[in-house]
Amino acid sequence: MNPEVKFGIAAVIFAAVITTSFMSVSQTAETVHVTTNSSADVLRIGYSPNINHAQAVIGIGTGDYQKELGGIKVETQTFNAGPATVEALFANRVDVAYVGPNPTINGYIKSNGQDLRVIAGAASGGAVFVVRNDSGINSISDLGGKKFASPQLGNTQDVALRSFLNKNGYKTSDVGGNIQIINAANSDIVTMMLKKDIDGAWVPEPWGTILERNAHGKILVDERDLWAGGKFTTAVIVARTDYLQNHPDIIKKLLEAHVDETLWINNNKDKAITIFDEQLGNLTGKTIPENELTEAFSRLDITYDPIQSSLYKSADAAYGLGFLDDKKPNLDGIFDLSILNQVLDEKNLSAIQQVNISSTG
Amino acid sequence: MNKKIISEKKSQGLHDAANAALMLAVFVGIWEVVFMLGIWSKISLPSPAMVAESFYKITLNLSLPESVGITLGRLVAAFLISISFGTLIGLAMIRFKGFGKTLNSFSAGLLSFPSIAWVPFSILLIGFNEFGIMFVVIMSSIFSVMISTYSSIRNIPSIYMDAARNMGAKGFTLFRYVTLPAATPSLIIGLRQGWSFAWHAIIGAEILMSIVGLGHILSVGRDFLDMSEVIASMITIFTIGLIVDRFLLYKLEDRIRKKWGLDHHR
Amino acid sequence: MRWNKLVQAKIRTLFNRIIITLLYEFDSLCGHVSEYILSQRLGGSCFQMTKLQAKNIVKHFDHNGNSVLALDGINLDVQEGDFLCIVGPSGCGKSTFLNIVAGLEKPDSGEILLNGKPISTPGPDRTMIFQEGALFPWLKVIDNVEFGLKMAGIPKEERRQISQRYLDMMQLTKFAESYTYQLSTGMKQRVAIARALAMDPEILLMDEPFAALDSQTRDLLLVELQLIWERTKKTIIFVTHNISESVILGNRVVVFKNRPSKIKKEIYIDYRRPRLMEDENLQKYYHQILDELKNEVIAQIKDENQ
Repeated sequence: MNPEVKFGIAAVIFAAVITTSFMSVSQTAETVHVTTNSSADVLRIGYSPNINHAQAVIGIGTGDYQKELGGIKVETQTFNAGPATVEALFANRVDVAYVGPNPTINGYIKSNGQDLRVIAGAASGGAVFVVRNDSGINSISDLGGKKFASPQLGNTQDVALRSFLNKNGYKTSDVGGNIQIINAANSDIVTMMLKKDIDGAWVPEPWGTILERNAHGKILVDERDLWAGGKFTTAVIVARTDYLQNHPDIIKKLLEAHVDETLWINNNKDKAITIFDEQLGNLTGKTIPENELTEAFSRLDITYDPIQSSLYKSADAAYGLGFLDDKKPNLDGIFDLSILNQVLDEKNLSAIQQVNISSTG
Repeated sequence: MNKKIISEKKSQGLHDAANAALMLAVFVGIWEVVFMLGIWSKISLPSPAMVAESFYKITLNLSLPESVGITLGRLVAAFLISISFGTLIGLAMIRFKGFGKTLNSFSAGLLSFPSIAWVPFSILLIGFNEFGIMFVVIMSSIFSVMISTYSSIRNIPSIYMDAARNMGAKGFTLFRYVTLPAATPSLIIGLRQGWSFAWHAIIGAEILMSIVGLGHILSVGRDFLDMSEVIASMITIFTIGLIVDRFLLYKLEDRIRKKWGLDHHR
Repeated sequence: MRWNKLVQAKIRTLFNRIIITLLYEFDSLCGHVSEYILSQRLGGSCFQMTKLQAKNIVKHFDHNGNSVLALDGINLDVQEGDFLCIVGPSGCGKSTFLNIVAGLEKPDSGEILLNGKPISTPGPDRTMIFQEGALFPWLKVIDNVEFGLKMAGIPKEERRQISQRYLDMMQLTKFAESYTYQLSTGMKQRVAIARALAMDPEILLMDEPFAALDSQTRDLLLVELQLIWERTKKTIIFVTHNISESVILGNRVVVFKNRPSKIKKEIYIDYRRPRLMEDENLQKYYHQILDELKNEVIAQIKDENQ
């Protein structure tokens, strides 16, 4: 086969690919991929060994969830970060997941609103802005020219930090301002604080407590103070849409377990903390001193309410910072609280009104 | 006769290009088919067109060219430091035989040390910044340079040294006019190896110490579930690695081999 | 008239041939005479200087932890202008001895004197031609020949001229700008010789330089080498295991014993030059050396089988 023929074939293939690409673009209104590998009697849960996934950590670790789900086998997988969890959800490796609001929003948008639904909340609050004792920062007016960290570009705390700075008239270095923001894993943030490489950080609990107690930090802002009623969602449960549609009964059992666990934790704070620490040790090989855990828990609400308005506001803030593509995020239909409300009704608890506005400002 | 050789070489080049084009086209074709079959969701595996779009986007907003520049800049700076110190230590290993032997056996273990494993240490020692990244790159490539220098010089056939000394060469002149050129083909091979270690190291370090750069684009893409961006940066990384190795280092090695006649067998 | 011219030409040619032969014979007669005088060792310093002296050279080797005695007190005098050939069974240490003379190895005891002064380091006054290679593949032929001169600090113009001259002498003018891989083995050895001679050494050391060549190239080089020796009047020590070579080249042949080595026998060859391989008169020398060598080879085989 001489080179001309080869080039010719190559050109034809490329042309074909380009044509088909245009074709599939015009078919945006796709139906959901019905390629459920999960069989009817397995529920795969993804979560992180974090304190705002306490229900999962305790409920799965102690076997409470498996008990509630009875004959349906519970399989679990832990992740270190939200995006990875959502990745696994879409790749059909887990069916439901405990995850933060921003990865949820990203996933929803990326799948054109098709592939996931928020079915319940898990935690509210539990994020703080800590600064070094010797950073010279005593009030909000001292932030100019400093260096701060957040766990990940575009995640909940990162968005909170940047919005906070913008609201208070500061600009970050990437838009010509004098405040530098670094993104690093939470443990690296601790190192950097100790080495005085940064002046402060916006972090989720228990890292706020850890920074305060072990890295000579003080809490400048408790994020709850920035939200109405001190409530803003920091963890939700999401389900892959096709699983939700095909196995509502299993989802219901899961939410029953989740709600029960939520109530138990709120009624047995001290015991819950001890058990949580134990399970944390099982999962990661490390534990956190109980007094630190207690302080961390004090800034956190374990709940089943997804605090929808805060999610919409987070999305707006992210969009405003340029994290969410060029189009305004359309979050219509991201919440599906119908099954949750069924469960709440059966337990004589007040329902959670589904708020379907995708706010535009 | 020479004209014939040149035109043969040209047509060989044409054949190679045609093969490459065909292979690329087939790969993209299969990719598109897999995508259309919907085996993976659009989010997990984007189509070639989506990746192309992503490419276009990040090139247009300059974040790709900037990142490439930053990554390569760090890499070259760190690699130059690696080469300088690595060569010096390699020479010291030759000069002080006991030191050389011991360090050689340790270095063999350090050669296969994964570059990412240097990151936590670097964060603690140097810091979460440019120098931290460069530290990871240096540690990942310096042992290769050291050992390569050491063994290249040791493997010079002693007959060259005998002949040179016989002709009155000694000390620095001997080193400059005999040892260095005699070791050069082997040194270049070591250079290529060091470069590939450095290249691996920088991408890994950038993913973990996300500041700016090619690795940063890759990790941010992932955090935002933008697989197209992830794949686009993967392609960029692959291409740059290929270009530098194939068109720079390989050519250099080739030139030296030709000059020495190392490829001529009798 | 034309016929006359032809005859004249023929007579001229014949006449030239006769003259050359007579001159040749005369020349070799002279050589013969001086060789004879040499061999009688009459008034050494008036006619010839002792160029090199090896006094009681002893050398041990480390072989698998055992110390093996290789050279057991070699005593050798080399006169200026000598073409000394060293033969011996393989492994007898003749190359080691040559390395010691070159200064590339140090003897355990004994010393080497060059023009009466002891030497210990290698230097261009005793240049060596090796069996294989030793030309630098990263340099062109002309740069290779120049190398020793460059080391001696001779300026570029002069270096060029000298090297060009020696390349011409070795009939390699056309290859000055080539790289060494482009040359045949025979040509490479010629370059090596040019390189060695360019440094105008006191003594030329050759370590089995023709061993790797095909027999035709070797025969040619054997003749060339003799002519070069005649022209340059260099003192040469030539190590070989090939008896014919030693007989063709040497005016003196020294036979080394098997390890531990001593000089077994010295033979003077005062035959005319250039000597050719096919010359039957050389046979008697050949057989003399062969006999000596045979015994040594047998002894070596016995040695190795113990």
